[in-house]
Amino acid sequence: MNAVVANIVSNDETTQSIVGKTTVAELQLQYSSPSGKTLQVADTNLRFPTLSNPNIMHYEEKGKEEEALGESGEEAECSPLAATREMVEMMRQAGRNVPEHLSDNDLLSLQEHTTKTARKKFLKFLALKESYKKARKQEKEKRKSESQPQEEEEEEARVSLNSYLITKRGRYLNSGCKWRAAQAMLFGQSLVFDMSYEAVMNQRELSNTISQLQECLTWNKRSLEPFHIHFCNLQPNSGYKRELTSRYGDSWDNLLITATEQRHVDMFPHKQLVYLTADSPNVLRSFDHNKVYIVGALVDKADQSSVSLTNAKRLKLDTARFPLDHFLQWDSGAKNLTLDQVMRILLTLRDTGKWEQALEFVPKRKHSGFYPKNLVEGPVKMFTDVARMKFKKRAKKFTFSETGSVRDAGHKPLTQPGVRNVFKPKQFMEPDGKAKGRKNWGG
Amino acid sequence: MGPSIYPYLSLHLKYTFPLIISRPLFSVNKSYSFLFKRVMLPNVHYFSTKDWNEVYANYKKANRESKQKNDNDEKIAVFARSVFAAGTAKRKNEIFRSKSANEAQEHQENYRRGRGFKLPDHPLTTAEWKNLKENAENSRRFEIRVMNKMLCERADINVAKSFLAYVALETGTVSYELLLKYLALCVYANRHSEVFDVYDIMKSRFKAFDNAANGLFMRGFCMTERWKEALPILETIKKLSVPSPRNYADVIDGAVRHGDIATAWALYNEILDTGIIPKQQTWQSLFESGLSDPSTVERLESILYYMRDNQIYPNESVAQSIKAWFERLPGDKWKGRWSTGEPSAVCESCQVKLESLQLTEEEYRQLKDHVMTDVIEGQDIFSKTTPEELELFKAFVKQNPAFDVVIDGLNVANTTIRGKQSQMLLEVVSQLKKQGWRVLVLGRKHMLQQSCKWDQRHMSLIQRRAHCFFTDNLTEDDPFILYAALHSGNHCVFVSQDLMRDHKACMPNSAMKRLFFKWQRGHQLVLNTWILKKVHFQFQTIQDYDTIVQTDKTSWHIPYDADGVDRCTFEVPQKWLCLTRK
Repeated sequence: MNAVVANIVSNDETTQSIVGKTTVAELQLQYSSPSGKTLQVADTNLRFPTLSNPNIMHYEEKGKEEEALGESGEEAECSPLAATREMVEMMRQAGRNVPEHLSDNDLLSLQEHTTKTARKKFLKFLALKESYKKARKQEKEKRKSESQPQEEEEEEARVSLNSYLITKRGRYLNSGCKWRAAQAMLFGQSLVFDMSYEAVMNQRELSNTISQLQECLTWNKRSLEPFHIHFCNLQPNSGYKRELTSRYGDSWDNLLITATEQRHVDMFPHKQLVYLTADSPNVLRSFDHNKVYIVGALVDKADQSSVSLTNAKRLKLDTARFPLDHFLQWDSGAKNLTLDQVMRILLTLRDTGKWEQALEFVPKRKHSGFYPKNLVEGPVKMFTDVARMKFKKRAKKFTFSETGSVRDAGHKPLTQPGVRNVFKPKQFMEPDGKAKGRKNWGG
Repeated sequence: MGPSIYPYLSLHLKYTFPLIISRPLFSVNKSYSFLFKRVMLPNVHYFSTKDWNEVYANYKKANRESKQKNDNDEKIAVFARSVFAAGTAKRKNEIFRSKSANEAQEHQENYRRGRGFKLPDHPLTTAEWKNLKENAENSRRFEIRVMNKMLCERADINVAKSFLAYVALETGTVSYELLLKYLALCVYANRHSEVFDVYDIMKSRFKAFDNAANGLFMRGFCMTERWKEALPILETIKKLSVPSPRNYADVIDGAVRHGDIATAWALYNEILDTGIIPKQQTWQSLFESGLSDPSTVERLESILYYMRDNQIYPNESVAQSIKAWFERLPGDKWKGRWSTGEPSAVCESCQVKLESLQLTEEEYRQLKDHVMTDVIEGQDIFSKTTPEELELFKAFVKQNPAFDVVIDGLNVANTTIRGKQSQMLLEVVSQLKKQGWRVLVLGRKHMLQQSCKWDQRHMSLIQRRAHCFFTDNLTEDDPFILYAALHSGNHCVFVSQDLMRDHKACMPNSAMKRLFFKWQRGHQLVLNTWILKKVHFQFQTIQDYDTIVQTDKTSWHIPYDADGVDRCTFEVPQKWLCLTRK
């Protein structure tokens, strides 16, 4: 009997060496059965890869690989994380839009999403992020390989530049900007970002908000006459603060802005404050240098209606919106702008006083151009309903005949031009009949 | 006192200010329009659908004639059916779309999509496939695109096989994605042996599958004798996520098909435990299983009660199997008939009175409280109104006696595209007033400013004939309408074309949403307007029976979705299955 067992074991060893693996169950089977059968089992085991793929031989290579992978993952099978990872991998192989690499953190936050759709969206988001990263990396490498010789030439040109003008750049410029910002903090006009909207945003929206704020600060710094920026309602342990300190690090304390926990209503006289919000019934006609404008530091990707207007209503503040549909041919669609766009519009408006220039910063995809100049000049004309109606009718005919497109604007409901109130006394104010869509430019 | 005085007041006015009253800008000639004489209110008497069809036909005829005379004659679609009747929204949409003539464009796009590569109709050799690839316009992702195309057109399985053989020879391997698509093709074509082959191949190559593959395997297995192998697959899905109702439906179908009714019911209970809404197909297979097995009567009845509790309607094929099951029941003799709901609250075929749409006192109170706390106040009272205004409104509602009709002023006014808004509102208010009803008009403050839309003479007349409450311009007035109507009690209806879906969505749970919907169906008066030389309007009829699965022990009444009718979530079916015991 002993000899038989030894025989089996040796037999088994050879099997292992040939196939690369034998499961415990198979071993047990071999021990319990008589020797003759053992051999048979071992035999079938030997032929296993060819048996399962009788037709197509080239499966073998890949199949073994996969199995080997599976073997190593078998211990981890009990943990749901590994299983999720595997599932995502299979989804990738099935051609779904999921990322190639998943960090453990990503996996954990994936499991926090309870519904299938939420998971799918999260994976898509990760995949998109990954693809951007990859594209950027590729571009960088490409540029690197292309631009090396050019750089040397530039270097030479720079050295040989002989001029009586002293070139100033880098740190020097920066200190100039800082000087202006410091001046603004003493004498400049205030602009408030209201940081009280953490509750209505999720993590992703919050981090987008901070990115936009960073951009705002940059544009402000570069302008010739910056605003004195206030971050109001910035609680020390809020998400805003956490994100800001993680982005700025130590330099957060050196920023030339006022960040405070106080409310804007407590810091400025009530009459001076104007809340800029896209849902407001009032239109901002001109820039007032004595007012303090408030912009809500808010990004709302999900559908939330008039968050900042609600806030302004509660505080009984004046509100205003930009005259977007007075200058731009706006078909439909939300009129919410990002924070940096609002910042650039305000800066330009303050410097030039011209809406045409300021509204250049509204994304071009959102509208189909400015109204013609003769209509806008003496804005009185364009600010009336009748003028815009007439223009729209004319414009429609024009586009129809010109492009010959099938899309007939005639059947679309006319965008009712709002504000008949601009040049009328206040008692004639009437909100637009049209649903304005979401108009929170984060404000 | 009010209602008894006001008619005289208006009479008096008519004589003193003939200019205001008798010469409206667009006159609605009452003697001319028989519709006008029959403007009716709920629970009084109705325009039956038959009458209405006649009117509609006449209207169309008139329209056609006038169209021949004058091409530019205005076209206004008339929607005779209730806004809550199944398919109305779809029909409306179609009419609008045909108007805007977008279809031509869509057609073109479809055509463009269908063009390009053409699939062969017989298996090709490797060389031929290679040739095809080289000749293709775009060889990027050629394999995937060909496979997708086969899946779309449900191509012959042998063609797919020859294609896979070509891919295997060409690239040395067949990717998971291609195998998955091939599997789908096999499952849809009911090629069981191929499904098993793919299963073996994939099982040997990959350790795990994604949900799509698992679902397809389950579906493939459940059609065959090996359906039991689907159960472990279901278990593996459960480990990572919740199986879809489709997966359950497949397995239950397989179990029923192979006579394992106990497993089917165990799985069905599992569905209910996880809170998923089962597929219609599941119910169909369960009822079909009941044909042979009489022991499941109670369980099958519990399905009907489940439908009742969740206001779910079976589709036509399920209704047919329910009918078959009832008629085959041993013992009692059941007779099933198809009928349509008539506005008389009585079943057409068996004359049994249908359940009323009225709410109980308790339900009314609940709904009122929820409208106040969840719809008006919500998370932030400032988002829809202000606390001061709300107090004012509450006081206003309390002071005044219960209203009979609450009018959504802006909505009603905007139903016309001709003339002034205020004129339209005035007409509606006067009509309702004539019935001796106590009317409340809710609007916004800007209506009280003289403008080209709001004539203040009309507004002052409206204020004389009805109670009015004007909210701030920034306030949402719809929730106030709901609250006022609910506060006035069961007899009070509200006039609006708005379906109030956003307010329904504010309700905390699905039970409250259903309750709101039930109340809405019983208390919303929808205005239809159309222009036939003049502006006409008519109120849609209000049902007074509830459209829900119902029983009174001797009979069952089951509303079902007829085939070919696209029902939106805010609509209820119009067809009934009537089952009576002899």
